[in-house]
Amino acid sequence: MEERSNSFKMLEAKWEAGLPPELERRISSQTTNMAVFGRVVELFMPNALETVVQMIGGSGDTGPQADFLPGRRPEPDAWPDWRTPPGKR
Amino acid sequence: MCRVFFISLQLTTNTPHLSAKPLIRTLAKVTNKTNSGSGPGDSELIERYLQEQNPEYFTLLYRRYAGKVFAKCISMLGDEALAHDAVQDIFIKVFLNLSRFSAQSSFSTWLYSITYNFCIDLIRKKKKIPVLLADDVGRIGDEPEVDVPDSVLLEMKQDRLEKVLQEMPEGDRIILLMKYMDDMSIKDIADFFNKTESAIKMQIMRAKQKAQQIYDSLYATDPLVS
Repeated sequence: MEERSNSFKMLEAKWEAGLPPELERRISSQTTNMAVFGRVVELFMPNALETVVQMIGGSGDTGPQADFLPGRRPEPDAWPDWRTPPGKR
Repeated sequence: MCRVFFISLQLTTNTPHLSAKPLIRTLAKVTNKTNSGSGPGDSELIERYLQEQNPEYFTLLYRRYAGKVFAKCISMLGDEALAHDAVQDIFIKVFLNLSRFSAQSSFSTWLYSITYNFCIDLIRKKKKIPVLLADDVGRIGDEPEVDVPDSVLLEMKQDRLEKVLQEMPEGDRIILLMKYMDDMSIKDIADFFNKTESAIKMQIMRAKQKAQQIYDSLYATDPLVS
């Protein structure tokens, strides 16, 4: 079957050809920067925030290391020692 | 802070799945496969991007669709410099919202609707037009007398069609582009503008009539179909 001519499609093809190649470089560099920044945030932000909290006088006792802070006795079940806790056989 | 950034850059470049050269080779293969119609589709590329967070997959999507998006922007905005900025903004918007893409519709449909909305918003802001399509569209008894055949527009000379489209009101131009350039169905256009199908049919009839009037005023001495 013969395809009908469509001036709209031809016009679209003409406009498509006018896309400047430097636009890809611009967008690509922007997306790469955003991805790298996202990774930086993901990797370092939790520890950085905790450090800031400690620097301004807060305590980091809500993190996973909370049970092992100096001066704080861990729960018997989480005893970080090879010895058997009292009462456990 | 700079040191932290530098370390993170090192980490990023040392990560195996982010090393550039093999990935670009893989992507080139993917592009070739996709062009032949048997490679991974858009959804698969998006899935890979979301898993690996590698912008190269996004670059591939850009290469597939940038031309079409640019054509739509230039047709709607009528200005090349504005269209460049619009393409950039649209793709950054898409990049930031890729995780929200649901595979209920195709990626191209999603991308084109973002493009249309972005351009319509830009037109509204720049020209201070509150609505592109009037609310009285499709009113009974207000039908155009003559239905201009599709062939009149479809077979118009390319440069003349471009000129006619430039002269048309934004709403009419966009609706003709949706219908004849993107082959959107009346239902899809109606859904997009939140109007009834009969209202959209009426709007298309009026837009075609306007196109004919503009053509006649510009090229009065020449026959309409060239």
